[in-house]
Amino acid sequence: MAERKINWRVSVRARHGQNDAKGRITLSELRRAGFDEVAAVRATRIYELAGDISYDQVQLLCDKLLVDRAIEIGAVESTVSWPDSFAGALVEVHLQPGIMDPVALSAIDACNKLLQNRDPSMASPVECVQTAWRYEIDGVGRIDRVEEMAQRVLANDCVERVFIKAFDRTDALPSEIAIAPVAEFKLISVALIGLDDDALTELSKRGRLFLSLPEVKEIQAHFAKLGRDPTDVELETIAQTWSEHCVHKTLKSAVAYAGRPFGVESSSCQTVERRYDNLLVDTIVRATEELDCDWCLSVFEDNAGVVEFDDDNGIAFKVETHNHPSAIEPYGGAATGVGGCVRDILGCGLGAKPIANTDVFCVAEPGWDDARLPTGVLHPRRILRGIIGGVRDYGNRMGIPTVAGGLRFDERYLANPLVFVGSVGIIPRKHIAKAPKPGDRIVVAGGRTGRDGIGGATFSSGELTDTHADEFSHAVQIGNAIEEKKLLDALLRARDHESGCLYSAVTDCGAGGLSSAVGEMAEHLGASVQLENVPLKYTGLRYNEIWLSEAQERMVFSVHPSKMEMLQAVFEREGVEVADIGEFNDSGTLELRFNDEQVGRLDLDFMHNGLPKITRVARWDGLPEGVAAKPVKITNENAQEMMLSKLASIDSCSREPIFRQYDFEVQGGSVIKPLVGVGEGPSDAAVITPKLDSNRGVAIGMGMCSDRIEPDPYWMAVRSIDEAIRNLVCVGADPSRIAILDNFCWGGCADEEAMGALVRACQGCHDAALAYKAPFISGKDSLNNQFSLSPDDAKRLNLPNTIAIPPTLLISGIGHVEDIRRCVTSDLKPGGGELFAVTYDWSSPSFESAAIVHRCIAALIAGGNVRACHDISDEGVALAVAEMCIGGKCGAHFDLKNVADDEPVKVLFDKQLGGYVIQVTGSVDFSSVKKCTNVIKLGVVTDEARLQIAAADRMLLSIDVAELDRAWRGGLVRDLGERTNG
Amino acid sequence: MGKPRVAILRSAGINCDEEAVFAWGLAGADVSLVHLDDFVATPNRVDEYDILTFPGGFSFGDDISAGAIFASCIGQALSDRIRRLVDRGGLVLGICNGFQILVKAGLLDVGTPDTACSLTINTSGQFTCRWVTLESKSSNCAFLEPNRHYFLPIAHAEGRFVVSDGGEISPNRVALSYADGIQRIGPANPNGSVHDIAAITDVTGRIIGMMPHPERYVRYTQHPFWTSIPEPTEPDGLAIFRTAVKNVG
Repeated sequence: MAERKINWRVSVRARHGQNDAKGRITLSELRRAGFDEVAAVRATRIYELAGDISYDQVQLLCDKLLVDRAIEIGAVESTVSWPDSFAGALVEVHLQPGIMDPVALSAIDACNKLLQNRDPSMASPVECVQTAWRYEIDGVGRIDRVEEMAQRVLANDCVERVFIKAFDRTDALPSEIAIAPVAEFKLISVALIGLDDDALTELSKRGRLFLSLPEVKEIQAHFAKLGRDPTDVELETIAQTWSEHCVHKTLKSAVAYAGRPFGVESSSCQTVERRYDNLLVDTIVRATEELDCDWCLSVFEDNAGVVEFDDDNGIAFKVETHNHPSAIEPYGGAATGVGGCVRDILGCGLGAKPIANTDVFCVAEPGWDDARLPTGVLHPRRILRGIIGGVRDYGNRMGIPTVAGGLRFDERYLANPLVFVGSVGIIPRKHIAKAPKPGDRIVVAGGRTGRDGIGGATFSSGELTDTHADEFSHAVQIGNAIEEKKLLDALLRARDHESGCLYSAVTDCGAGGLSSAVGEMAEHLGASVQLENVPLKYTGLRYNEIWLSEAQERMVFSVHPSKMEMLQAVFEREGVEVADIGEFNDSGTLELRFNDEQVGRLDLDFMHNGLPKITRVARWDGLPEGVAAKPVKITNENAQEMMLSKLASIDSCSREPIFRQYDFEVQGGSVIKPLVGVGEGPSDAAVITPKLDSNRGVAIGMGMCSDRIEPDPYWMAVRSIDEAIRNLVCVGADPSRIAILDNFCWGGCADEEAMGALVRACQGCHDAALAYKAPFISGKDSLNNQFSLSPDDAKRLNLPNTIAIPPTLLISGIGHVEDIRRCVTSDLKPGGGELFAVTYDWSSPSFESAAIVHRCIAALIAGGNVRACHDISDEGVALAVAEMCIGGKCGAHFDLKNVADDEPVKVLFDKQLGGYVIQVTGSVDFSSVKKCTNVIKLGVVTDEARLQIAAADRMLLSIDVAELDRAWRGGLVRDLGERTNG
Repeated sequence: MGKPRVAILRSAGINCDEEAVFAWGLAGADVSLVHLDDFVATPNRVDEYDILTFPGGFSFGDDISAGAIFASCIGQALSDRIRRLVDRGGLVLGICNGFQILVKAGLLDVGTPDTACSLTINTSGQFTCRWVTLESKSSNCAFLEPNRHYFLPIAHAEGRFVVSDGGEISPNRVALSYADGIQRIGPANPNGSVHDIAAITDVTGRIIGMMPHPERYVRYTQHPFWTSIPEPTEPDGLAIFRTAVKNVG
């Protein structure tokens, strides 16, 4: 590893008497993690500067830039050493060499600009900057405790390294900034021809290609025909293109299913057989084709699906997962997940403008016992705080409001947390189509390419193990939101350029980096790439590293040579680097060159269509036993207590501690926010208006049904779709204009049962989409979410050898709102009115009744009689009413004597009841739904803020709304009180 | 006089520029977006405008500290031009990150010698997005009506107004303070600012920096509980832009 000597070290700390925020937050995190002995923490920011910088210059930088003299003091040293005046423990946290440090990058530019401002003749004296944090910790009594807190709280060794001075341990601080080593060029080919099956399997494993034996054999045969072995970059490119992450080979495989029937017959014991040529196409895509909605403008073909907004614009929506990186480095994993999904929106058509983000997290409970944590697994609290921080910082910094989300807890997510991130954009209809043309230049724009993130696509296609954090640390990255914001600014200006769009196609560099971006764009053409022209963060990258690096914040454009100059001018204006790296042609091959050498030549048809097709066998013989949660017995006697404990439970309580950290107002388009009403109750869905001078809006809502509520994946999928639609209808979306997206996360699909579960979910998606007339427009899957424990851990912790997540399906819905002034919120409005529950029963489901109820509620809302509307989610009617009371600071009074059921409490807390609770004034007509559904008149809304529920003259519960509010609002505050990660 | 000409400064990471354009437009101004580099390269371009706006966002990632790098780019020549704009009756509005920039660029001070001010991390330690009630007390501010309450959103991690040790702010510099009003979740002062300060002005009352976002409440449907209140005659945020348009020149 090469180095640059550190010339100056600047340390910045809070003045005495001023708030040391970082120190205080760190102290509370240490205490929360059980380090109760810690008395105080002081934090110091360190900047290490390398270059020909004079003392006066570094002092100037200190005074004018690095130190806020109102509240901080800075100190300049010419040597790197530990302070000797402090008696407690000292811990310094540095980034690992090669991990991107956005603050350092900004600091280099800002320092040089400032010095040049003073003296324009000056070159750029500051060559290198490195940042670090130093913690002074009081009260800790033993070195092993210091080491433990460094490992568990202060640093993540996957991206950071720790130096300690405490007791008799004094680590040497690095006096140099590490720079990546220079590699000599050497063309490597991989001996493939002639290998037997065992050797091929070993090759795939050792090379971390994650290819199955039939796949490697296919590649072997292909190269045998060519009469040569592949080069390393050719083999890696194919592995990457054929990875589960990129090609979704499981979902697109042929499937032979045998097992329980689908639909209303599903509970019968007979067995049916069904064959799918391509599971995805025959279910989810087929539903969209059969519905053939003219308002769907682009489905399943681009980086995002697009629906109509108005005569001139479409709305693009994409939802991604970023699970494996978030398991290992939650903050960076979630942030780069957001960044990748936003780039999908930027890379949709000729570029959509992002207008909203969404997020859904599935994690184990934050109160998980520290002693029961397997090796290689981060604590769920740390994961949750990290992923919230990542989503927050990336979205807030880019100026994209995070408007809707969800959070689900289940211990099966302990080692495999799920992070779903979505992004919505607005795109002129004339820019939806794109096509690169032969002769176009291949242009890469945005961040520079480094060794970061190599192998991410293949990494995410395998299962995690206890040593994954070490082996795949290079796949983990830290995002730089401002780099992407600059890219956004430049892209939209080039798209809307006065002389027309300056490029013919664009796509984002995601998993697989340039290999998949250029490979996809060239699929029906051909391309020749000069890899040495790709701008690098540091010299010394090998050609295959350049080609496969997943460095963030990059996009690829195809640009007609006559427009290159204009494009360069626009991008330079925004401070975005562009580089011409080659040409699209009509050769049908992908040629990779490094200087004068050809390092790869791949047949594009083989690359994209050569993957051997397999037939998977799938079975489903009934519900697995013991999955459904044991219901707690609720009686008339404990209804009051039940109500409060359900409101306070981690599954139902307020998500406010998360939402508050997101800027859900930026861009000014928010109409229905995450919290609604004077009492700030929960919202069912978000509504935004992407054009500030228009009254047309977009509603965004989610549905995710747990297998503990509905163990049959068929009905789980149906109920997830139903929930998404219900949430959208609640706020005033038109149910005939709702499009949906699927995100499947499965533990694994190796066995026939898991595959059977996947088939059932896909078929459920198909049937529900047709019944509700809600087409799918985009989707994504992540099918390897299981963790192998070390055998010792499994024994010690009494856990299974493999922890797999439950089958999880997120449905994200996007709805059209013709007039935002007609929108409705869930909070009860003062001035009285009647409360109705309009319900259907999932224990004897029928698609028709649910669809009719959605249309009925939408018609009532459009008619203007509905003052408040709320979804009855998985916890029943009572909880829905309580949340409406909290939002409106109003009460409700009702008597369940008219309820036909013998057990009034069953109506209140029944998890199998779907539907809506509405507050109406004036007379309403339920005749259209009476035949197929249950309309329950609950009672009246009262201005007195008290919820009272009686059953035939007997009071079941009577609770002040303030008490409901306290119970509901407190649940997550303890775990999420203060922020982490900068 | 014709429409006042407003320049909205943008740079890498500024992200509230478009809604600021919309708000000034509603208030009757003629608005342009100008890149910071253009003003830095040609400071006398400031003379083409009556009002400058430093909008919100995360300029340069808020790396080092919020607004620090943008402020360090402004330099002497541009500062001088901005002061000249104020001298000829012009106005300067800094919102959120724009407030942080104005403070760190030395365009706003607390009016007492030897006392420096800054904006730093909220007491909660967290980025916070919520609506707050604000009270204007100053009678010397071109953007505000005296003794009026405004209900506006804040969204920041570094909005706690502080003064250097032992220092004090001259009371007539305080333009807006967080106040009790519409009852909301959480304390009236959302970030721990000294004296509940949400906005300050320069000595002329023509340069203002504020943490709340007036450009996010210029339409009825932006109000957090518009579904339960009648439509107001004028949203509070729009009132601020209209007052400024009235007072320019």
